[in-house]
Amino acid sequence: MYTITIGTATCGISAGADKVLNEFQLLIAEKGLKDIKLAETGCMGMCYKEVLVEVKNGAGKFLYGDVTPEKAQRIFNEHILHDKPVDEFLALLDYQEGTEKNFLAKQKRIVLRNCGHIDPMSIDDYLARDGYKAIKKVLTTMTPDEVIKAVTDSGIRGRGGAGFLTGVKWKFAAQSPGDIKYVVCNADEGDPGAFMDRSVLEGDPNSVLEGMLICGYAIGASEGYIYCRAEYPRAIVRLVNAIGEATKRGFLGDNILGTNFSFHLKIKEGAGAFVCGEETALIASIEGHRGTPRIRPPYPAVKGIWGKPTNINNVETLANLPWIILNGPEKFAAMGTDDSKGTKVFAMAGKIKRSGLVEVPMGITINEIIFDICGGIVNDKKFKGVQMGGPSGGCIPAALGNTQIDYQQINKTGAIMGSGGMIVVDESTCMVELARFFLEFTQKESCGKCTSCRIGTLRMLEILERIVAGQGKDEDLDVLKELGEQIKATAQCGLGQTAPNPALTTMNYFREEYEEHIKNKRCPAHSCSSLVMYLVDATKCTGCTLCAGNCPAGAITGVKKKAHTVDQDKCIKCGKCITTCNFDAIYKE
Amino acid sequence: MEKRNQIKLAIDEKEIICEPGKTILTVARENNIEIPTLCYDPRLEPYGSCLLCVVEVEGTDKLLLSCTTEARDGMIIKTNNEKIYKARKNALELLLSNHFADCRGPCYEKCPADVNPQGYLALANAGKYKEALELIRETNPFPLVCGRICVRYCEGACRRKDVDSPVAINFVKRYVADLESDHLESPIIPQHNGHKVAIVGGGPGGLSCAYFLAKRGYKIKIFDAHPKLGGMLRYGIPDYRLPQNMLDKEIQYIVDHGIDVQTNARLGKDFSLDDLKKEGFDSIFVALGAQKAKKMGIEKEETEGVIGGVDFLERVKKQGPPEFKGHVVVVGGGNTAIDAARTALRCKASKVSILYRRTRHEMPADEVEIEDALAEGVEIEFLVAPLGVIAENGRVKSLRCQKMELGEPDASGRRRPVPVEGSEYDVICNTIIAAIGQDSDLTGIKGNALGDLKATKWDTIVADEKTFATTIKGVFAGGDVVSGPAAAIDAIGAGRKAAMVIDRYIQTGEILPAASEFLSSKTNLGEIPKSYFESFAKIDRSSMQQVDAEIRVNNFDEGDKGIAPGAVPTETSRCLFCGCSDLFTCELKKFAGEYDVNQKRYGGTVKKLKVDDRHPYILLDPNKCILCGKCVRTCDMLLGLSALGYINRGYDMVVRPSMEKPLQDTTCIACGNCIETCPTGAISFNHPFERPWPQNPLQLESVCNYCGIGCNIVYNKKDDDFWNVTAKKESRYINGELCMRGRFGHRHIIKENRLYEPKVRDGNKLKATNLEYAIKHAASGLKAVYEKYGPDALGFFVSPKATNEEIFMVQKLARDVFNSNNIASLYDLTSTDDNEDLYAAFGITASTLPFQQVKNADVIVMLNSNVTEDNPVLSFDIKRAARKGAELISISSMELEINNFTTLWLDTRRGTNTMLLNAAISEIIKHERFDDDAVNKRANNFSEFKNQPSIALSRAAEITGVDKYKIQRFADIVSDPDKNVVFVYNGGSLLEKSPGDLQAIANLLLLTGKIGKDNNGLIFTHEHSNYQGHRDLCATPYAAQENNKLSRKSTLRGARSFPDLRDLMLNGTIKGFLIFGEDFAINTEYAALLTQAEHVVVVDMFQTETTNFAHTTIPGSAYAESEGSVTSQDRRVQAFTRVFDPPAGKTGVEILSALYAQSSGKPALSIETIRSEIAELNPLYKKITEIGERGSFCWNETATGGALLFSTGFLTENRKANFIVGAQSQKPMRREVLCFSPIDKIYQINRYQLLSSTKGDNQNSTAVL
Repeated sequence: MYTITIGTATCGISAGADKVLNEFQLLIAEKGLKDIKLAETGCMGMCYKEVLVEVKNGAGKFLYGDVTPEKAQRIFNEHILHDKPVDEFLALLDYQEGTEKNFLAKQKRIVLRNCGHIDPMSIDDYLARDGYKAIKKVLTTMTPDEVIKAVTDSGIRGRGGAGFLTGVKWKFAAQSPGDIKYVVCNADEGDPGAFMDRSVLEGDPNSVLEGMLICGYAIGASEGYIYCRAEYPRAIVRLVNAIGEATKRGFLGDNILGTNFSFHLKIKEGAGAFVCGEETALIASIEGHRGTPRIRPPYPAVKGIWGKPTNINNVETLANLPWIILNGPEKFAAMGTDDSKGTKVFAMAGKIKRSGLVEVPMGITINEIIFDICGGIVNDKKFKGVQMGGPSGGCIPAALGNTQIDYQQINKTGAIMGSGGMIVVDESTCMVELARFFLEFTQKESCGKCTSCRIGTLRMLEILERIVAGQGKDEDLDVLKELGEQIKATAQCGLGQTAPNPALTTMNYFREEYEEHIKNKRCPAHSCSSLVMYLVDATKCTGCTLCAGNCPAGAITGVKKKAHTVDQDKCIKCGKCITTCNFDAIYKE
Repeated sequence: MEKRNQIKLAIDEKEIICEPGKTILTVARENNIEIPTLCYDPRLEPYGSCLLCVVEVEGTDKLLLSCTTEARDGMIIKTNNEKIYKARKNALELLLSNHFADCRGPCYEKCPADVNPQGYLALANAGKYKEALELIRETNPFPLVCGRICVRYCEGACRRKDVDSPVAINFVKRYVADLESDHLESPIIPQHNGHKVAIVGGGPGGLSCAYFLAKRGYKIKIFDAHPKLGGMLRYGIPDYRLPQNMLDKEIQYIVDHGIDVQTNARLGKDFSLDDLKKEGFDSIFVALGAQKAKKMGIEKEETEGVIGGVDFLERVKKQGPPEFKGHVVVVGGGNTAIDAARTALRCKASKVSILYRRTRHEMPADEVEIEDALAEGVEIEFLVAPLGVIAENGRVKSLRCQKMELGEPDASGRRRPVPVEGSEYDVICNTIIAAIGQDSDLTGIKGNALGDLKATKWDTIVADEKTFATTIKGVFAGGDVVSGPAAAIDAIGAGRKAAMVIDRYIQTGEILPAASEFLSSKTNLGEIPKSYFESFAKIDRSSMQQVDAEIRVNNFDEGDKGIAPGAVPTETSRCLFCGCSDLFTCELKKFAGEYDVNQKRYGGTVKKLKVDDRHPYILLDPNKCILCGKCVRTCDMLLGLSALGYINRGYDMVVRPSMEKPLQDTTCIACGNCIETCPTGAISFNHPFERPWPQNPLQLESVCNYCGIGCNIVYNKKDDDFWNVTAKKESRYINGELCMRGRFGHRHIIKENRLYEPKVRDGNKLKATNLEYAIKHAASGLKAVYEKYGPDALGFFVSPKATNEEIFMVQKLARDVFNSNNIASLYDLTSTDDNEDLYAAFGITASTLPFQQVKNADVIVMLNSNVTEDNPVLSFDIKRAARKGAELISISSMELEINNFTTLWLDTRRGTNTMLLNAAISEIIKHERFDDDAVNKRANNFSEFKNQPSIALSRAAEITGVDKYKIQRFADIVSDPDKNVVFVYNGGSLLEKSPGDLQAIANLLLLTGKIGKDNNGLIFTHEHSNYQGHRDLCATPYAAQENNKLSRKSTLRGARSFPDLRDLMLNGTIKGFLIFGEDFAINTEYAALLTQAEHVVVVDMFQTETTNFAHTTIPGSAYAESEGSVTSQDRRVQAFTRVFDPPAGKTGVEILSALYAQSSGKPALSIETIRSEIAELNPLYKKITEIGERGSFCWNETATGGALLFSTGFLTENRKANFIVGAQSQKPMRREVLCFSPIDKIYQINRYQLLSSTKGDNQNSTAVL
């Protein structure tokens, strides 16, 4: 008997998982097979291989990658019907649980322990993997103080970005007087390129609920909100389902598991403002106000939603908690460095061979993640740097690739751990353009309240735009640096304080690249279109006329079988000639 | 237990001990440490957007916002260092990089003499020509001169040119100067300050410097080489452009400031700088000008018949016009060339030609001048340069010339003339005038022991551009002698600026440039969008009226006659009013100056938005908004209205009226508090009646006369008008807020619809007369009635808006002179019931606690009060209390605005409030929730009261229509011993009044013990601004009775009750009326009485229905035109003094005093005498003798006075209060509304009519005085 499991998280769906699922359904129905179980699961992490299909029977597990409906037919015909795995489609040739190599070898899955293994719509699947055992343990054997102590002892830091010690945060909320308190799950994952929280919510929603329950018990809250961005419809569907199921089974609601502890949960959909991931703006948004941060103190632990003590944790933090409770804080604290414990999930994107979701123990180096886990840079180009922490983060250059994943270590580089976005760039990426890209994002997402963020980020962006357009001025770098530092020093919320990071770190590590743009009007990565010339290498050009025929601007001319030339005045720098040339005869300068 | 009442910290090395829980900013301010901020307002929750208030706290890397960071024990705080300075400067530069606004209009900014054209255009537009001229003269003592010959940098910069053509600014200047310069008040020579300054050179620069120094008390002596003062103005400008008498007039005015003049004294010849030093001048200003004609540098230039341009002009001035014969050639293209050519024409030259080496486009002369010269027949040849003079018989025969063509642009940006080879030709001529420029003659500055003034190679003196300091200390130089030949206005500006530097130098020894202001300018931030200009209709520029060219060319009379008087309003209305009306109050500008901000530092995108002028009072210019959010927060937190809000996010965020509707279509109540809280000009007064222009007005405090709250207002006064009304900051009242009437209603009172002339009846007509006669007429009219019918035939009616002194005088006139007790306010006669006061209960009717304690209340009960309409400023505090958690209870049959904030609304049937209160009292007694101590020790008759039949809740519910549980809850809340309870009751409102409700409140307060202690009691409000004073000063018979007991003054016998007085009127007994500030005749019944009366004296500010029936009408005075005092509804007597002159020349109290003197034969009373008599009449007012011009005091039951009433006892016989037994009448209210109550009228008046009404608005008169 086979079980076919298809990853239908958003990453899978966007790669066509629903079509594959449909195909398998048809095939099974066609053959009238009864003993084949078709299941869905969340993200398995290997987004670079989506659609992923796991075929399992007593003999073992086989994971197919890049599955299409056509490939599904072959898998069905050969593997299911004739027990012959289709070797050429296997995602990891030696994929066997427990003995993963390559992608999974250096990973340590706590947060993602259930993702890809269970059906997120099935509470039974969750229960089968020790689900809701932690809350049972907490409610029946521990006092709130003991829970807080366990969390404190585990050394876990908030995974939302700032890395504040979760146990300490809980203690503040627990100590704040108030008959009504709130627990908020911050699922407003807004960093471009980050999808850890979404994957957890889509793949294992119950573990987040369980984490919130543990927190509610510890701080004395009986109300909770999940603030989830509306752009995550699938996560919301699964959360709604999980809340319904958990309520039915008595894990949510009044007198949970027969104790005095009651806990009610609501989902609040955010309308997509990045800044609403900031705690105080999030609170304002839940209250129905304009999503604008307010100045702290008072901290939410003292005055949060409707002025009541409120504890806000990120999805990933919460998903860790059941594991910590069940396995003990010591086991968690045993992983990682002195400063940073446990694991961290990263959403790997950019110029790497294997993009996707990885969960690694703290203390691993950036190089290990990029090269050992993610297989290195696409086309084996030169690794240039990695943007960590999304637009609020900074860029760590390849030279610092041995930096450990550790809050302190990363801060030292000028970047931040952030929520876990890692965007890897290679030599073809212009660092000025990279900074401009991220600043454009934060500038657009500024709430507009404080001067330095509202106007300052725009002025920085304008300078960067000027530089990439080849109109940079000599004083621009100084102004940029000073302005960036002023914004960091004076902006009132995390968004503003970190917005200059991409520019400041790239200026720090790649200053010569900036200078090239300004002084010599040259983009060393040949990326900034205004500063790039497309030229024909006369020694390679065969005069096939293909490029001239494809040039939308009519900028390429030449006689047949003779080297062509590009008219720089007409060239619109679309790059089409490079991709059409069969002889590698066009290059950028 | 650790006791921590105080914390210790250090700010800027100052050790401070304070209570915990305050922000750093608050602590700093309390200790007079200034921290800049733009978004902080102590009345509002801190917001933290502007980032100016950053400070550094030791041990913290990040700069912290002092407005939100709590001061903690042990903090070491720096409020200013380089890091902080940079952060603040950066924040300001960012804000200003997006501040698409002009501080000053470009005309003002471009004027070297700092003349404010926008200002004088506005004044001229308003017909205030004298003020316009004074404004010009503030920085330029030569308006007559400049009105004629100025080069008009202002017009060059005028933005109107992008609509059609620049405003004819200078024409308007000349117009006001011509019109008004003869009416200038003679100069006030200030006291000599002991220093003297020598001015070398009596041209525009020297004279300007002399003038401004003389005005500062310096002894000035001007030395000039010429026989007369004026320099180039006199010797370089022909009379037909600047008549001598005009120049003389202005120079005389300057010299009349005590300036000594020595003419015919040439530096270096007749005296030296050394001499001046020896004579003890503290400083010397050298303004020699540039009066030496430049040589052409061509062959035979010295030939007879060749003369320099300025030399020629000077000779004409000194020796009269020569008789020219033949052809005169003038070389040059500037104004001097034109002047020389036109003068030559007037010297009868048969032909005058100008030769200029470039084209007309490059000609530096004024376009108008060129036009005039051409019209007069001057010929101009372009692209010609002189090569040499050809002489015959030692005299000029011709001028050899060469054709030129234009080559590449030179350093000046003009295309360089290049000779055309072989194009030489000769121009036959008799005279050649070389008008190609001037140099200074510096021979006189040499050879001093002081050292030599350093000169440049262009023969100018080396002097600092901004400080005018030369190489010799104490010697300054400016004008043409430093800059080279320039315009008169440049020299005038230099002279004034030098005066400021010299003043400072002499006073302090420092040589520093005059403080430069930060000035934001739209042009700093790129182009002005075309759409802006398209929004203005095109209007033709006015033209100069000129004598025809053929006529004027025959003489030296002035050819330009100025613009037509009728053109002035049109021309001035062409001004686009670019400059900001907040120029003098803008905090952004202030800080930008302090932090030396460069507006152009960042460049980049700038938001350019439309100005919203749709609201009648409030102008929104989002370009000036810095998003500090003060307006939004003020509107939200103070008013709970949120008429303004944020739209969009990030850089696109703007403040707009909610839902982007016109502001007047939102919940806006037009209180204008947003205007005042706005730190820039983003929200400003929208004056429909006056062109806005920046000015720095005189601030004079007064008291608002719109309601009984008595808000302290400030008239921002300019001349005889006021610019606007603002709240007094740190006012004792609600934190310096105002309502719509208080802020915008004063122009209506003071400036519109007024009575200006006293009038007396002659048959059927009222004839204008003088005040003296009118007073006599009034006195004899009243006397005649008195003599004919006796004292009862006279009625004296005084408005409860009149001042205490006026009220006192009316009653004194009645009682002392006419022996009558028929004294009341028309307002009192609207009631046929007398039982609405607290006399029986407390001994007096008044609020028992000060308004500001409302904030501290836990429970506020409002009944018979639509507080947001009646007393809006009080409602702000009530709403604030609600925001802080106070329970608001409204007892009202109507849905009122304040109900949106209430926690409990008892929607009674109208007229049943007493029942509701009594039911609550019964409940409290039944459950023994009363205050034992209070009822037994402070009241006389509790047992009797207790034994009254009680009212069952169910019955009360049935009658009042209010759910019985709600009544129960009300009883529980107000009797909660732990809560501060305040009742708010409007004594003037008829809306929800039921008989006995006020007394029931008294019973309730006594019962619960919530009276006579802080934060508890009754606020008795009124819409009449001096209702309390009216009661207290015995204008009404009832009050007279009350206070008679206190004063034991025998004169107050036989007071008449309101019904009695009404009967007396209606049965026709009263034949003579003195009506002070009330519109009696609004009621037709009373109007009929007036027609039958034998003499009616009306003193009123306005033409009213009543004045139509008057036999004598005398114009009254508003508070702003009076000296006096009013008593606000919380018993504070506030004095104010005159801000404006009353239209009749006498204030209301002076009129009454004169009437008193006339009727009694006794001397008139001074304000001091009146006040001491008031103190005698009513001992509670003892302190009125001490309040002076703007003081105040609060009376209470004690001799020393105080804000809280009844804390030591009541004003009854035995100092104990009485429960009013039987204050439970259920009969419906019997109240005939005999006239419009002002409160009813307020609802009727569309709130936006207040300012826009231009025709007589009679209804308003009682509400006004």
